Amino acid sequence: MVRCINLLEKPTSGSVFIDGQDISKITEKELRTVRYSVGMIFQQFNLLMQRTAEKNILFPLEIAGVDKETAKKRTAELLELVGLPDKAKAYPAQLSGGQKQRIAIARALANNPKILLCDEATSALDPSTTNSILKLLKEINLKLGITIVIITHEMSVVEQICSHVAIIDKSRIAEDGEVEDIFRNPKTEIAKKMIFSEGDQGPVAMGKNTYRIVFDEKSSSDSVIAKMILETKCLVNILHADMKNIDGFAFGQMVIQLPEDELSAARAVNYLRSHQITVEEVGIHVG
Amino acid sequence: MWDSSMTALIVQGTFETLYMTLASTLLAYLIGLPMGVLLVTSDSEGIVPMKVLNQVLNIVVNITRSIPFLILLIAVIPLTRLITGTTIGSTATIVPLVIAAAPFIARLVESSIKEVDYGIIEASLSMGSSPMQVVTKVMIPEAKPSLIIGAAIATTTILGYSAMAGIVGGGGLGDIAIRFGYYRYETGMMVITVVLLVLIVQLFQEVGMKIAQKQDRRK
Repeated sequence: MVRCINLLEKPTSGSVFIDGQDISKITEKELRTVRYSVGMIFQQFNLLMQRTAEKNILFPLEIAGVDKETAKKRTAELLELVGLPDKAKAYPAQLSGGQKQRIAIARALANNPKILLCDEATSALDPSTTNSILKLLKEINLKLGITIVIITHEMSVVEQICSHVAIIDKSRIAEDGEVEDIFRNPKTEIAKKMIFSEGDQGPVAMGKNTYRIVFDEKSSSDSVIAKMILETKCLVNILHADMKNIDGFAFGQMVIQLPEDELSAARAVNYLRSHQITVEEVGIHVG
Repeated sequence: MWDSSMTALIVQGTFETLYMTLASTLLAYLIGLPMGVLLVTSDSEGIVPMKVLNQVLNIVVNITRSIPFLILLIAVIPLTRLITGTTIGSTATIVPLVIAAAPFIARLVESSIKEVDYGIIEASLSMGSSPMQVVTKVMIPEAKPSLIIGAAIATTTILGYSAMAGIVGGGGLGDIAIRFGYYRYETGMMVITVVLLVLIVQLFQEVGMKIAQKQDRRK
């Protein structure tokens, strides 16, 4: 998918625009120049095994014909940026997965790209290395102002560093928008499935009168449920609860079961709605 | 029957063999290396697919590879005379050796380059490499250890072919072995030339492996 953005894979139909330029219509030579400004990192790192870390970073500069002096200085800067100045002379085979990905990131940034494409860049890494790589990417995004496009199946990655998300299902964009909005209120089946099945089994037993409620940054710090129980005297069965931190805001969702008695259930729902909390009745199964 | 002239003959034969082998290998690589690279790049899955060129190359390589060397040796005599002006001696032998070895080398090069992970090639394309840059900066350097092992195999194979050229007066150790050992039943001479050939093959093979190992950064 991401290979379409820099035309490593030619789309069968449609066009690709980068900065307003239709790159599916330009010549091979012009395309190469465009590619200088679109960095890319891969799941399998794809470093040149016969070159040292330093020479790997130098590679795109050689390709672009940057003069040796400048290229050398740039390489040193980049090694510093990814935190591996001591590994300059190491060969990829001597580096760990996380270190390899750092070198790959440095290599992708060598020609000062405007866009950085990440193709499942953390899928081959363990959780703590994934975190440190994501932190580095976020830092690059903020410090250097580079647009980062991430392709991933790990929703936790999206949650951690993305501002916008598009969920693709069966080759079509099912839903897109700001991460916060989509996570708070996914509309399509696939989005719900992706977001709620993340990391756990999701609600197991779903009976009648089951509701999903979503907290935002304000309500998540308030003990709303406790207050609701006290005020409406309605007995609540909590089936599932999950809190997440998205872009610095607490965000949570809970699946609760209300009593069969429709009146008290309606009271509870009304109470929650009056406190600006999203409540929706859930079907038999969401997870 | 053993005298200094015999020793001189063997020394000369050894040098002729080395000359034929190394010169042929070098020339065969000048043809075989680009052929091998083209076989990979022009493939339908390659970086510059060219169907017709790929098919032609494959047919040429397969035909040349299937002709027994001894037949090829005789078949190309007119061409040999055209190029070197003679059909006997070690320089003349280089012509059929190159013709026989180039397609073989092309296949060796092809398989070495195919070992390079396509992801690495894709990465270099994503950075804006031209096909030529992919070949010179990625494919060949990344396949270097395997190419060196291939070169050692090619050299020893050519050495074996060069000994066969003795049958048509090609010079070198093979020539001596045939003239003295086969036609005159001088077993001693035969043994000496065979031992020398074995030693030379061992030497090339060992040196090739050592260099390849030293160059391999994948472990």
